[in-house]
Amino acid sequence: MSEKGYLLLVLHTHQPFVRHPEFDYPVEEDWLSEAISECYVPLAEICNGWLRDGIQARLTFSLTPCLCAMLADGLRQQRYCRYLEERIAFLDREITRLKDREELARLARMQQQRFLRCHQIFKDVWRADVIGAFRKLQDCGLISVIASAATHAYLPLWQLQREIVELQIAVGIQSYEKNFARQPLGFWLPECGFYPGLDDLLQAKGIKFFFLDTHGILNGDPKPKYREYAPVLCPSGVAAFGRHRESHVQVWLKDRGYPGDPAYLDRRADISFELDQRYLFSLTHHATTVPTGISYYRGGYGGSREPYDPQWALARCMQHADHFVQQCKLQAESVYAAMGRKPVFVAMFDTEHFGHWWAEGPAWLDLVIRKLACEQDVVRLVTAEEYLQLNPTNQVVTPSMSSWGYQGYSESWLMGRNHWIYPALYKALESCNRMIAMSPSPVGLLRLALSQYLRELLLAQSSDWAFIMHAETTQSYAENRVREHLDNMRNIESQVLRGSLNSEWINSLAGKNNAFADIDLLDLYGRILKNGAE
Amino acid sequence: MSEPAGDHFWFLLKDPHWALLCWELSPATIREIKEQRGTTEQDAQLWLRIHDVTDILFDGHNSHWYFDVPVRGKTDHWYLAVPAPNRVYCAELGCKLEDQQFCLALRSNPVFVPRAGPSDWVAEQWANIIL
Repeated sequence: MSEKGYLLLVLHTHQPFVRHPEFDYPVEEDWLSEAISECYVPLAEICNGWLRDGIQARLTFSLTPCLCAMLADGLRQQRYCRYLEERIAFLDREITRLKDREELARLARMQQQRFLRCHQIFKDVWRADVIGAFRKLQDCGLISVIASAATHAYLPLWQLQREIVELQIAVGIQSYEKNFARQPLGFWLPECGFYPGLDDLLQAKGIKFFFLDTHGILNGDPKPKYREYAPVLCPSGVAAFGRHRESHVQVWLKDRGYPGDPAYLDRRADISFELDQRYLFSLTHHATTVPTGISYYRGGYGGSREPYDPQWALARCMQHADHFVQQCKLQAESVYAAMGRKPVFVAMFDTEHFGHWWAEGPAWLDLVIRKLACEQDVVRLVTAEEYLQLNPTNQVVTPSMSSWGYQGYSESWLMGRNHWIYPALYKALESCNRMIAMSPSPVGLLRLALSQYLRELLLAQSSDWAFIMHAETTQSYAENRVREHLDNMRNIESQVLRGSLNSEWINSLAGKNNAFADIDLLDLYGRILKNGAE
Repeated sequence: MSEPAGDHFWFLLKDPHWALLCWELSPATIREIKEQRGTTEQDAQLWLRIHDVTDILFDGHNSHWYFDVPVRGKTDHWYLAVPAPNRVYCAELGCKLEDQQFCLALRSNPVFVPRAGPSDWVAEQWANIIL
């Protein structure tokens, strides 16, 4: 059997910038701790397994700049260690509590082993340098890391202010260069949000490819000959790859996909929902229900009260991996026969799906990659740059405005509960431009104040806040975050206009919201404004 | 921000069928609207005029066609059903005189509304990517 197609797997790795030195135990900081424990460590471990076993794997990761900023931050690293140590200690108590229920005690020991392993890798192997771990995997040629926008702003809703879109991209690229010691070839558009003309801004920064949802390609002009089975070249020359819907449905959807299998761990059955909050307090530090990341029951998304059976879960994982590989092969053969060109199936997921939402996701991915690399030759794993090297000739098409969000456009980020964000932030940028026009070459404290203003604006633009308001999950936190950044900007502006800067407050704010502290935001933005004026 | 309310009018796209119009009127513009209406009423009725400006440089008078939408109630935004995708629209905010003449207060940015399905334009132009 000869090669009939390609599989391009992309894991989009992002967390919004959350850092609260003013609180001892901010619940929202757990988001990153959970992601490192449940996703980044297991995924990096399976990548290292491929390296050790000589598996020709290819996997594409985006690591967003705001995530990298948290991963590189000493306070967040320290708090992650604390998160692990508290769980390791707490699980000792759990093992004692469950001594008469061996089935559950065994699962508690298993969870403790998982946290111990994370602790060992994070502290002893990586020396807290998660970015470095991914950089090494990229340097080995096993994974390809692509850049993304500074704070994961949903760019179609900022296109009225081109200069801030350019700043999001420029900070994203500079952050990538610092973290991965090379220039990025690919760019992850937050939420796959695209509008015609955005490709020009990426092209100007040397970007060669990005990814879109299926309809972004299918609704392009002219009609793409090979549908989403081949990338298109935008008029700017940048390639756009479209998502393959079938792979997404199988792996992602809770009702029709693999993760809903009853053998899999039920993450929603977190022990915090059943145990006394006083007993959990040493772990959660709050009197309310705070997920602990510990659960003992199986049931996938269906839910059950049966103890988790790791052997059964692994067996189902193997069956699901077989099924996925088989489907890939069948689809490659069938599309190749119809198209006369090897199709590329682009499977794109949030990294958090593998480990956080689907506990067995990393194990499944490991099996899929090993099977694809060693047990067949119909489908070849590629990165986008490899595909483009092998297939440089592509149709010129202008992709359509699109996103991978609900209904395929901007609805999740522009609706009744969140639309107030945009006028407020549009005006904030106008204020910023006025202040910069008044002080074109600021120095000292004024420079720090204006840089912090830009930082606050970027942080408020994160698509996560609008999305959370839409989804009504941790709505008040998201609203408070945007309001807090707006207040900070207002305060800076009023101090600048009064000509009386509060050094202590500005320095303390810059220390708290310290994302991209190693990037000269004002210099970057000044150059963008200058180029725009020319 | 800290300055008094200025004049702003933003046309934001939600999807090929819906858009959001948001505005902020300065006290001077509100005064002007009331003077034009010759009224002292607190909240003069605002109107939106939506122009189809596809493939033209809009000068305020040369749109392909337009339609008017009354802004009901005291609000600073309006969700608009877009008449047809794959067109460019521009909105105007203003009021109407006794004789129904539209008096312009603010004009929005133009917005390109994407197509809602595949293009019927079939053309094969191919190029090589330079990595």
